[in-house]
Amino acid sequence: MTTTAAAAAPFIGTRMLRREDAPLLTGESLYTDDLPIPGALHLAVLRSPYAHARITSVDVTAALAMPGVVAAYSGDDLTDMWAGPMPSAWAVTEDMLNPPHYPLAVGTVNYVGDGVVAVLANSNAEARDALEAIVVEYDPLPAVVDLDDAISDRVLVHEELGTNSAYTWELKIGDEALAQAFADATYTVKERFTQQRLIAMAMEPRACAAVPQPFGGDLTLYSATQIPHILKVMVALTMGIPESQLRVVAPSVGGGFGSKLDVYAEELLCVGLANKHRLPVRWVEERTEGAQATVQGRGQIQEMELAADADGHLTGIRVNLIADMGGYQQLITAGVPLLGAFLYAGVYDLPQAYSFTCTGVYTTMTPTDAYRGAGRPEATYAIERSMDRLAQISSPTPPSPGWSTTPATTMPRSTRHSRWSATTPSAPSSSTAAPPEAPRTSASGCPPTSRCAAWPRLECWPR
Amino acid sequence: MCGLAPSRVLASLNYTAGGWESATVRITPTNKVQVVSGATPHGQGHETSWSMIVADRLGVDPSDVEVLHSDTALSPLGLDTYGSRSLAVGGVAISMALDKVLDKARAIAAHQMEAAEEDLEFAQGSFSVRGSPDHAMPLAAVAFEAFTAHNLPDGMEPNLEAQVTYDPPNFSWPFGTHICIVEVDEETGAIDVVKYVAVDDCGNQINPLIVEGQVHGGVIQGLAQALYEEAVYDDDGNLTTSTLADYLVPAASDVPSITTGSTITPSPTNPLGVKGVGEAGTIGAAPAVINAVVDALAHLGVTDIAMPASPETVWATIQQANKKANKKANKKAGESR
Repeated sequence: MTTTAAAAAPFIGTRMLRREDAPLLTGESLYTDDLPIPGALHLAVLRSPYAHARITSVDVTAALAMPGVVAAYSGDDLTDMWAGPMPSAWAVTEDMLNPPHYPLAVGTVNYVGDGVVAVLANSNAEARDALEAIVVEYDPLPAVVDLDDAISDRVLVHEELGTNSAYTWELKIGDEALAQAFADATYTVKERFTQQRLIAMAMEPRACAAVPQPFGGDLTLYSATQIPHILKVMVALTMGIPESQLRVVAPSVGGGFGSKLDVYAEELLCVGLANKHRLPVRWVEERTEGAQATVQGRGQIQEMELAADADGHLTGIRVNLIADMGGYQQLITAGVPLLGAFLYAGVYDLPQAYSFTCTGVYTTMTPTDAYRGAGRPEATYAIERSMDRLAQISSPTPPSPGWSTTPATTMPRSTRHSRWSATTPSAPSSSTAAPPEAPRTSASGCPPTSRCAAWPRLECWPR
Repeated sequence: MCGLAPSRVLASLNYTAGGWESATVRITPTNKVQVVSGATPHGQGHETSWSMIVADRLGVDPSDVEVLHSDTALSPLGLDTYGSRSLAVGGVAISMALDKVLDKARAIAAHQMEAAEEDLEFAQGSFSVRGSPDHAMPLAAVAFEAFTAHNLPDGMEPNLEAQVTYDPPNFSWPFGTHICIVEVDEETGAIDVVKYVAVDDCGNQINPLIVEGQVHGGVIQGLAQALYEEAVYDDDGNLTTSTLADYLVPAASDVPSITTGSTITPSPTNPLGVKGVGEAGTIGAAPAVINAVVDALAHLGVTDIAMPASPETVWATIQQANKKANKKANKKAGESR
């Protein structure tokens, strides 16, 4: 191949040019919306202009009379199509409150962009034009766009839940030590940080196409997704069809950053309606539609409390999060902030005195979910900003590099726990890049020093 | 904490699935190597990285390695790409499948060459008897023998193919240091990122070019949170930043050059010694940038600044700090009068 810069082995460790790039850069690669699918119907989704409202009536009569329009469905029209609500794979607590979420809203809408009516037409333009002829009447409800307001339950997003709090999840290590640390602290830091919501804005918007196969009732779903395998399982479950009848393909995908780590309403609508009409159904997102109806990232308020002794060494950390779920749970919405729970000590030398509490709250905004780093950038931001503040108040001069960080003499630390580590990893193969160092942990997974205070200690994790 | 994730840890967090990854390596009778991966690239360059791993281990050219992915008909098993997991979980699965394929090939070669397995060496794509390099059998010949199955050891299944599903014993723990120098214009609130240095340790690197690309993209995404991007909703719940004119994704001209460096501490928990790097840049960048901005404004009494630190936010923060300082000064002046 002409694109390979290196000519001979070993290739590992060399700056070989990417074989993917020639077709991507010359426009040869096919993205989902580039796929030629003759005879496909085009899906367009009418979305809620209200953040929070009851749907009182839907009238599609005028839309059905528009040129090229084949069908139009409200959420109520399609309730029989689904074997269950849209998947949420991460109920972080046994009692997490998770309202049913369907590909098209049933009864109420819970964010601007929530799908209300699906239109099928012979072209994308005809489908989108027809949206303007649909008449939906709403009974508007107050919006909830502030996390403190959400957690106060002043306005309930999902009335039937009785609260906006989906869950409270805790990780506590050394309760007494932590209380003592704050009682004895020479310095304390109390900060409140806001992790603003982010939009992934992948260069390629979302797109999908469901194509019924001519034999056996099989269907192929093409989607601009990060997760064709998980998507297959979830679509099969939600549609109530056997996995053997479903093939999922992710063609060239133009970036995801977590936003395409999800199972989306449009994927399910394409599959369901393609099966119903026995014709291919395809959809491509518009940029504004994507901003409103593709999951967003971050969305947290972080309350940080640090305790430190007279030398400025950390003695305890308390973290209290409010995490914005948005209007519904998407695939792993609830779990994202918890991925940070194990990183709030950062690289610092924290004794076993730590408390993490996260409350996930519903708001009337676009659902949140994974976004590059998922929980860990938020945690790192909070501890690094807080340590910066601690340095300001505890030290008249800028701290020296390595101040309060984990002392080298206690390294390496191990987070492996024997209960979960049945096998000792084999030594790195001799054919890998650099001559690898011998693993520096002992067979037990603990460092040879007496300071086996590995943090976070996996045995402390809730089971 | 990357390489998501050990299935039993995910169980402890109540996640509904596991964190394993699957890989198949097969050597076809036409002497091409097929690698089937359950990791599903969307821009990361898996095909290149996987072909490099396979080429080195099997002594073939990377262009002879076909990487099959992102199609559940071709790769029925997989848990896909996110959480810096592709190499640290999916790549390790490929490495383990290569071990199995080579073990089987060695047994076939030993049988055909009438030699003991332990007397065979494998180098440059060929088995040879130690001490007599002329007595050799290339892997391509072994693969063809495995396909015809005319003369295999008793009880051995035909074809040269191995499938592995690997569940990591732990997360991987990449680390790094990001340092940022900024200049802030007190009059306009504009921030100029003068220098950005990122040194990351993602363990052994398969392709340093791809590693650098991941760090570049990650840093820009973190810097974008620090300085540019915010999804803004009004009180009625309307997203007011729903176009690229309102939602400020930085362009190439908005971002600094990034100096990257790396240290290499192989991960002790997997045989490739790799950790994953997709998220590293994003994790380091926002605090590095905001700490620098706060440091630049500290002499004015600024102790924190909201993200994104847009010129407007920076200017308002400076004004507020000035007001506070003036009030304090006036109070002091009043007291001394």
